[in-house]
Amino acid sequence: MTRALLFIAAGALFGLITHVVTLLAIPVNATQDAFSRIASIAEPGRFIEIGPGDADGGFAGLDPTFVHAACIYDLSMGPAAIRVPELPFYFTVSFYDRLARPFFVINDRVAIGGAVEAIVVDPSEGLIPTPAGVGTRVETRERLGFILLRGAVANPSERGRVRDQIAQATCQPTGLAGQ
Amino acid sequence: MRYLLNLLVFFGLAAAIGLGLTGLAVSRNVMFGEVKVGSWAAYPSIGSTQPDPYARASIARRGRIPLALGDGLEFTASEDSEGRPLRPDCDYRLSGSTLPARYWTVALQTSARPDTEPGRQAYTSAELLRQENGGYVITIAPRARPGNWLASGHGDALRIMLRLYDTPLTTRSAQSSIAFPTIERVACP
Repeated sequence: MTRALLFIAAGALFGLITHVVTLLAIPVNATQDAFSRIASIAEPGRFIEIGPGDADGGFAGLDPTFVHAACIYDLSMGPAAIRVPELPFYFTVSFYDRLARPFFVINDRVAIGGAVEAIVVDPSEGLIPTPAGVGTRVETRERLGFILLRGAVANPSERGRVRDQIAQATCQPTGLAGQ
Repeated sequence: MRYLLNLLVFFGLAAAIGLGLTGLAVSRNVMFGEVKVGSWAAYPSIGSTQPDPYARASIARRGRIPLALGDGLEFTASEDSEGRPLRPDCDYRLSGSTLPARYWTVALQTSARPDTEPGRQAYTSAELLRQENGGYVITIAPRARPGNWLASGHGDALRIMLRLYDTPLTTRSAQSSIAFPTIERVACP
């Protein structure tokens, strides 16, 4: 009887350990997480619209009054440069790592000359100068991740205009190498 | 034989507890660090660089892209100001004054597909009809109402999302100093 109780207690304890291990393993092994889903539809050099909501297969939890577009960055190919033309209303550019953890956000207030220009750099790649005209430098050691562009649609009739502007945003490797 | 039985109990219990708790936590969207302001709840951890393990698992499993803390704050209400669960078939009056954010939105989350429901399911701060004092009233109801109307549809669940963008608020200051919109039940069938 004592031995049986011991096995039950050990089983419960091992269960708690299993719980912690499986919980920590989910983000690393998820195949339908945000990064994987964006990577499956991403196109080089541009932001892809990922829709306002999950009703049409979009992403859960996004604000339906915004247009959202995303692109993947891979810093193993060198720094990534993004350019977002100024949108008619409030907009932000958010940088996420591979596990969808946001680490940097810029909004329309940093737009210079009608556009937001930024470069994403891995500082371990050596000294990489910020190109002229680029207003924001984002440094991260996360080599893979995604950038989310949120464009507010203040009135529903303006959605087309916001989408057209977002379609002109670019996101591509610069080819710059560290010195 | 008894030893084998004990081993079976050990592994069965470990698998049931371990996988069961994980499955439950992810399916029920369990997260820590809830901040409550009236009917509104926020989980600031999910928009940070270090979300708690439960939030991380939930974000990954649902393919969710959290709103970054630097971007804004996201609050959810699933009950009215008297603590009763929100029902899509009831009429609610959401009212308040100007919020300390450059831009904010109110949106409904219902179990019905938005494109099968008539009417709007979201408003932005730029388009709301306002009162003389800058306040606003939004009626949430399944049937059309005058003024700012959000269609709650015919699903079986209703939640209201309030998102504040470019706000000086943190969840802690929101808790203490800001009058958040109230949600008053007007009528129920």
